[in-house]
Amino acid sequence: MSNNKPPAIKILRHFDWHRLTFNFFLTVVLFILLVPILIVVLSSFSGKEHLSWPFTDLTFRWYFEVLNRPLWVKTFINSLITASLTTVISLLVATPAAYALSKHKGKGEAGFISSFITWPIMMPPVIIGIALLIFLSRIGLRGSYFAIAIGHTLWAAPLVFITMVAVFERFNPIYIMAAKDLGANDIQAFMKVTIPMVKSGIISAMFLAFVISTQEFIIALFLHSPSTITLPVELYTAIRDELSPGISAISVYMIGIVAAGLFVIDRVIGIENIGFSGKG
Amino acid sequence: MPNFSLELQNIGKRYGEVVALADINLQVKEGDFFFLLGPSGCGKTTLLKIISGLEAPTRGRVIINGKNETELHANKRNTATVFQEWALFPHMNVYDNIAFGMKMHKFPAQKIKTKVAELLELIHMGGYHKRMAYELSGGQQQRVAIARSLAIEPDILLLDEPLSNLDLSLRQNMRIELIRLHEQIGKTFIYVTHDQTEAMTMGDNLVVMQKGKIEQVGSPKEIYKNPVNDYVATFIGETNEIPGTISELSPEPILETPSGIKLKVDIRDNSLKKGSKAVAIVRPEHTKVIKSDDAIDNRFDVIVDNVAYFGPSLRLFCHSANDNTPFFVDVFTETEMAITAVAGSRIKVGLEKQYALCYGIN
Amino acid sequence: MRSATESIKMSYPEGFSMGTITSFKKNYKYLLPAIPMLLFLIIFFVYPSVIMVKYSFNKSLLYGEIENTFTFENYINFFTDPFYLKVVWRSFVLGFWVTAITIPFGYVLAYAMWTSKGLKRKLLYFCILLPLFTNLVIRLYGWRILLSPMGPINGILKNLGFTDSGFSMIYTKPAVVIGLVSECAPYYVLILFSVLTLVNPRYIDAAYDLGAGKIKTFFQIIWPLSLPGVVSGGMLTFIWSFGAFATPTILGKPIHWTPAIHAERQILSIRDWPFGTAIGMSLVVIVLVILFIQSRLTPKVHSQRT
Repeated sequence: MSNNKPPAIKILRHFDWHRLTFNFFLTVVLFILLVPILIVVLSSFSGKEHLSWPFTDLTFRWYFEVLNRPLWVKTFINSLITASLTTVISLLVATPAAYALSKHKGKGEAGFISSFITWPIMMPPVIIGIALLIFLSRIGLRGSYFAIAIGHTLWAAPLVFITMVAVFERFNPIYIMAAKDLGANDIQAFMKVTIPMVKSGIISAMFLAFVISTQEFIIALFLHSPSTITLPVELYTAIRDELSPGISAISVYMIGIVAAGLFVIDRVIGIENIGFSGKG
Repeated sequence: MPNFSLELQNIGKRYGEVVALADINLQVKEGDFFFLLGPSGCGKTTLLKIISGLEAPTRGRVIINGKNETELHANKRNTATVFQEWALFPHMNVYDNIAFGMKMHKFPAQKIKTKVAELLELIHMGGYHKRMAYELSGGQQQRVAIARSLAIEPDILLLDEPLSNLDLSLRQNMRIELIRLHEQIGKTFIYVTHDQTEAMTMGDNLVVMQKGKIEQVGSPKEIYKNPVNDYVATFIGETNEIPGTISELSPEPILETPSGIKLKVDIRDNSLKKGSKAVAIVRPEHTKVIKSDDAIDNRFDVIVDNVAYFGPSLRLFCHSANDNTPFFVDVFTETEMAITAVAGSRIKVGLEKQYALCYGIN
Repeated sequence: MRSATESIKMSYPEGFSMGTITSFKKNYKYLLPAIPMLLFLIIFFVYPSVIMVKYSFNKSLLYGEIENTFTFENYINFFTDPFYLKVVWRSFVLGFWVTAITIPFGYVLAYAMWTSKGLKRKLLYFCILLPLFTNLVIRLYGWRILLSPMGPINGILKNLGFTDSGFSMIYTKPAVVIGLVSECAPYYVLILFSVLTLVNPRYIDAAYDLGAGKIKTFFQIIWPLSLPGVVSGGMLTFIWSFGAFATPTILGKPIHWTPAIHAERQILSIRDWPFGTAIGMSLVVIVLVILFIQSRLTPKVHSQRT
């Protein structure tokens, strides 16, 4: 560096324009991602009946008030029921499949089956909704909790599958060899060695399935009936008519479920190990 | 006819086009401490897995205690493996680890209890049954892994490089420990290793393997003294290799080096003819540093490059005075020779012809 | 002595030919645990899709009755009606804008994640996963609050004196685009990030070491290596914007509606199932064509780590 330049130019030179531009873009994209959620959280404390800026008379009362609205409580319970069903079905079908396919990744047919299992995520949810609506109406299941859970499983099971494949791949098969060598058959080795050792992965997959089901609304929109309507579907109709702190409070409860789920997953397997995209 | 606890007949194993094992025939006596020795990739671990039933051979038969068990899976065979990584179940404590195999074999509960206690005594770890695997040191994990395998009372205990994850001093203790265990239990042990010292010092018998084939079977002494080829000779123990051409076969076989030294040698390879390329294998302890008037079959001059101190002995790294063929000699520290040999000095070494084992080179 | 390969090639002992048959069976036995998953997908995904395809070739009569025939009428109606052609075209344009914005902005976030470590990386992960998993309706609700005439943005603009009456920002195309960007960006970032993690960071060191500047290093080393992630993430963004459902209904007007919304209208409101399924199938076909073109264009992802 030459020292005979005027100080102003020197400062300009040392000023990192790349970093500034980079950070500006980063701020904008984080804003786009997070601000809708932040604003929902903020507005839930507004004291006014209808939302308008600035949010004044800050209060917690909506959080208690909405608990007394039977419609919302009912939809919340419906969401919990479908999410539990989804979790159970997803885990039961996807875990053994992930176990079988994780060890044969190189093979042709295994690769094809793995990508077949992830096809439903590629489909627009509207299409899954329509297809299942037609099929389940035919066999008389439309509108049941089970119907919505099936729809959600089409979304959740592939993601559980991807997560569990990653978990099983990290599992050293030497332990199964040891178990078999000591006299265990395939099922005993799976139940007594594999499952306990990948327990944390399974817990994460459970939360994943559960969270996905509590948040999904397009498939549920097609498959619900008045008695099984889930909270996101009810929200979908409600927010078009009103902007109110009560709705915000309900939304914050939902965001809380997601945040808690992410926290648990992070504790158990690390947030960066959630199976998404091409990684698995 | 002796009782064989294991017989392998024409065992072959392929992975696709890759041949891992070709035509292995082997017999292991009951109660033997038997070693499979070879460099990594020679197929010894695959062979061990075939014996345990964890892998099926592409062809051939596995006969255990006189019964053909080729088709039996690992969980039905009465063999137990101690794995290289030990593979103690991390979600179980020591007791449950050792008891696992017995539960799988449906031993009565009372027997499991006494047997675990017995085994923990045997491995000097009484009182450790509540510990988790990760709370144990490497040596302790190792011993628990052995106890876990012994718990199912196997006819054959298979050990797959069990000491390679331990540091040197612990490894030496465990070697003695394993010899003791073998004597106490009296079962057949089959031990895979690439470490020839382990095989030489612990084994009753051993096979040397290379590229999926057996090169030689025998006791450590036999193999050391009479290696069948230069591969076995160089793999077992330390050797000097002197390349050259057979210039004379009778009355006395002579190997002539490129620089013209004529060595009287002991021909170990019947295919050698006059003019064949060959190599003489010489162990360091069989060469002597001599004075010029000593009577000996071969003598030649070397120049000392480097002196390494080993405590009781010195190793002189040298090269031939005529060409650059490297050569090393061991001498005892407390001798006159050892004091005069310094880097750069020229010394005379002598070699009796029965110690210059001559093999053909392909 | 025979060589190893020769001795393997010799005639096998008795019983080997049977062995090849059992080994063939064994090759597929490992798939047994996958059967429940496959059955589930066949019953609830493949079969319903087949029925849906069948419906789309049926004819609808009045009052939701369906005549079981085979006709291309629904498809012809969809692809010849200028109204629906305009819907498809507008959705294409929408997808273009969303993708064009998501690619650079998402890239910055993925890059920031890639170059960060420890707690910062975890935090950025959380910033992506929280919106990803949070109900889309809630996020759209947040946008409605933000963009509404009485909302914070207009409020701040009024305070600053830019406007008296406030801008009408909701129910406009930019609102739909920004909503879709926030919907698709998390997926795009995760896909791109997973490709970036395959790039060996030593390449950057090597480039610096050879004297390349930051910008040069980026465009000559990192960008080409991460291109597969940009392409597949960008395609996903485009497809999802094209097939979007919730965002255009909540942040847009009927003029912003995508084929997916029209399909839903036909099915749930108008109850013309054959036409609705035909729109849905057309959407799927367009998506598949895009995916096919992408698979032809995309360079393969290679791991540069060894």
